[in-house]
Amino acid sequence: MTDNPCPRCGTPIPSDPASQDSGDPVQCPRCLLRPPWDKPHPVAITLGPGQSFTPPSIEELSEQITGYEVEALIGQGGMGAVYLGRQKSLDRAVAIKILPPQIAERAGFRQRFAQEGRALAKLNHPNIVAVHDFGQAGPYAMLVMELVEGANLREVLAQGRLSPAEALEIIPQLCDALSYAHDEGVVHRDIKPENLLFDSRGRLKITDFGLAKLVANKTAADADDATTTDEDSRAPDPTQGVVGTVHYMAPEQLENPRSVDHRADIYALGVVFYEMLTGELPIGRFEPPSQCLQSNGRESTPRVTIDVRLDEVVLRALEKHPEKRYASASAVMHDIDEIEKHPRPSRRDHTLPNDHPRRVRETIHRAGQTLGEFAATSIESSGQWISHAQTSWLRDPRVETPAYVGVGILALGIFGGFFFGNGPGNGEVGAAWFALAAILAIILSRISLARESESEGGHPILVSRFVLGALYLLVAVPILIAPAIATPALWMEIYDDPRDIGRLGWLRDWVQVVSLTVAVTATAWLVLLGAHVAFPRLFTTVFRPFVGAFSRVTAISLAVFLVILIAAAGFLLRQMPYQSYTPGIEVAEADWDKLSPRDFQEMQRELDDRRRAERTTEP
Amino acid sequence: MTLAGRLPSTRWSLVIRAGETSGDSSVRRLARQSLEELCAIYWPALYGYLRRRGRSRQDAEDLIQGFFANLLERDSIAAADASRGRFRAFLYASLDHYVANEHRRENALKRGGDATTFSLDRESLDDVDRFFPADALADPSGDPATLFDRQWAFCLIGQTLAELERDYQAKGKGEWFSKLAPMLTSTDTDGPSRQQIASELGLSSTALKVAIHRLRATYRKRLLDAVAQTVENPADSGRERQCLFDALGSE
Repeated sequence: MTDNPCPRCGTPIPSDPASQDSGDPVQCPRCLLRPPWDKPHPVAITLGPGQSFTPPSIEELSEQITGYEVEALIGQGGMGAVYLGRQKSLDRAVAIKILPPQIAERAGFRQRFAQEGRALAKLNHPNIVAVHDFGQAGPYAMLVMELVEGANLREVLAQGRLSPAEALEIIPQLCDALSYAHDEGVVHRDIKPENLLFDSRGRLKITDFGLAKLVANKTAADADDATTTDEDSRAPDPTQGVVGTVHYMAPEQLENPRSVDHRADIYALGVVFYEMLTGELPIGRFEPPSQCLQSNGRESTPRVTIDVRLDEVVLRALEKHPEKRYASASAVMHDIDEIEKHPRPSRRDHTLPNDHPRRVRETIHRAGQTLGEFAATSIESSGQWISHAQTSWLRDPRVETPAYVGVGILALGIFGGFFFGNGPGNGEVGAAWFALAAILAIILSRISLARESESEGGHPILVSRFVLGALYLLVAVPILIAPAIATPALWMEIYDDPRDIGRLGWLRDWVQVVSLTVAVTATAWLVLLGAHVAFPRLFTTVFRPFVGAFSRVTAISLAVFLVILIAAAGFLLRQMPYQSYTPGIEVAEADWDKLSPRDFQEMQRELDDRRRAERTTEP
Repeated sequence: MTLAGRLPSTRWSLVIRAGETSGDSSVRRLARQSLEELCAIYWPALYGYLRRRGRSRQDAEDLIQGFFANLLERDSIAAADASRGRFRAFLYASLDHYVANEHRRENALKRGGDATTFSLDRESLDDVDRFFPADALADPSGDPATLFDRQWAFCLIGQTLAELERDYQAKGKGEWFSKLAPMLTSTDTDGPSRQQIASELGLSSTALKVAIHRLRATYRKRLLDAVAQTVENPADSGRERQCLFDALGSE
């Protein structure tokens, strides 16, 4: 048995013949028995009357429902239970949701259920779970819905925080569905990760639309119907009539459930968005998403930078007062579209006037961390201009320092190189001195670059770029032009110097040199291009931040251009080849221009020799 | 949602209950069928155990066949058997007992022509044998009970994975299974491996997360189901799983 220890728990993993055949990596049996992901995750539970409700068994429910087979219980929440079912007439799998009897038996519920059910069934949107049917099943109110075989957002989040790109794929679908439903006059009232499903293609499907209102106590949900006086006289219960999920509910939804409108959904959308980006809930004095990642993602997760403009979208959706919130889901979508269309401007360009207090607060917060209270108070008292000028230093005072030190070292290296290299035989010392300084400067500038990218990708530091650019050019330029210099040199080594313009065969010489140089250089560049495309991280890492990965279009068009160059050079080479010359075999005078310079000279010499010999033998 | 809520009885509980309530041939038939199914799943664990205890292939094969035949012939699982709450513990105790008496049994009267047989097919034996290259076969140093439990855990996991793979293949998603299976133990959340899998399966990153969740959820359910089938009371399955988990950890 070849035992490799499991990287997670250290248990030796026995080799498994079956998987050796298929070439799959063998998995640790201990981790398979109790997988690392198999742990309880927090679930947001909807407040509502369904909690104390014991769902009926499959057999019990089957007796109450006609037209559907009940196959399994697949979930239970604050608003009832969900079963996997099969619609006999159409032979399709469906989800059957039943609401607890304490809801269904309320006065006026049936009428309201009928009304609302019709409204829900009308919602026809690719991102909303369709309601097929509704009715009574014995004591239970029943909704038959489209079955989504996938995972909900909570389960997806359990696999880790979403990247901003993933979140930006989901949010527009959510906005679109909400905006559609709001236009149809339906408010969800209980948007939360458990109600956001994804089908097997990753498409969002919102479920439980409008159910919260149905389930809510009639005193809350139906203010108009509250005619009975005895209910009003009861001692007020703070959670009476509240149906929703605490952390996702808008403040006004908790305080006064009757006044809830579509802006409550916008608030919940903000909470979900925040949670997607940060993995946390916006509770209490929470930080904007981009800051949250800065402080929390330090050791555990790879750093992801969030566009600060998303902060503004999230914070505006999370406004406590509905009037200050986005007025509609489509407005959220519009702002997100704008952000996606114009990716990442510099942080300072986007300072909104009403945003300033928050920004100053952040600055003070950071200053407090770095320079202590003295700096904080000094900023508070100083004018706006000063605070602005200091912002860049206080925000990350460490960022630029290495860049300046790097410049200093580089300057020292250059002067030192001249100074030491001046004496006779000291060239090596000077070169070594310079190389040392260059390496140090590169390291320092790269450090400053890395810190800069950590600090929200704000303002680029010119100094570090200048140092890096200069030193990279020292490396990159020789690599790029080496073939263009080496080829003619080698050519002259073989064929001798090309003949001067106007002399016999000069055109052929120049065509040969130029074509060959072009062909070799283009080929070398093509190889570099290929290497860059195949291993994009190689050059981007070495020459950060100047080299980025090529887009496919750029790479292909460059490659095509180079191939055309090579082909053209090859064509010319074939068009004007040199004639081979063997000493002793005479070449016709008409073909003399087809000889290479060296052959031509040799031929001439031989011709001269022969003539001289003829002259000496003649008399 | 626990298994206890949905399954009124486990296979092992059926076997035990049949011994308690005398009569009714349909109950007995069901019990016998359940026992056969359980034996068919877990015999490789017994075989592997005997091999690692130094038995030859032929020897181990004969012992297991005899043992199971004997087991299936029994009318009931003795009520006094303290280990009967869990199929694994029961088999371990019974097997040890059987092996100890093997010599006496060999010299005793041959069973009649209608004796029960338990067949082991060659191919599966080969599979189990390949699992244990010759040099690692005999491991007399290990604690026998732990050795047995480890074999049992391998068998349980192997069967669960194989069953799951068959399911995916039946749905025409065999490739999905082979690509996603490493995610059953992997916890890296957004490594390059994920991007690669997503592009190979033509899925968006969200769709991949959905697929991984589905696989994990189905696997977990099957594993817990399989464990629950071997205990009398489904509420004990958590303890049973922990027991196997501990056995795998002690080397």
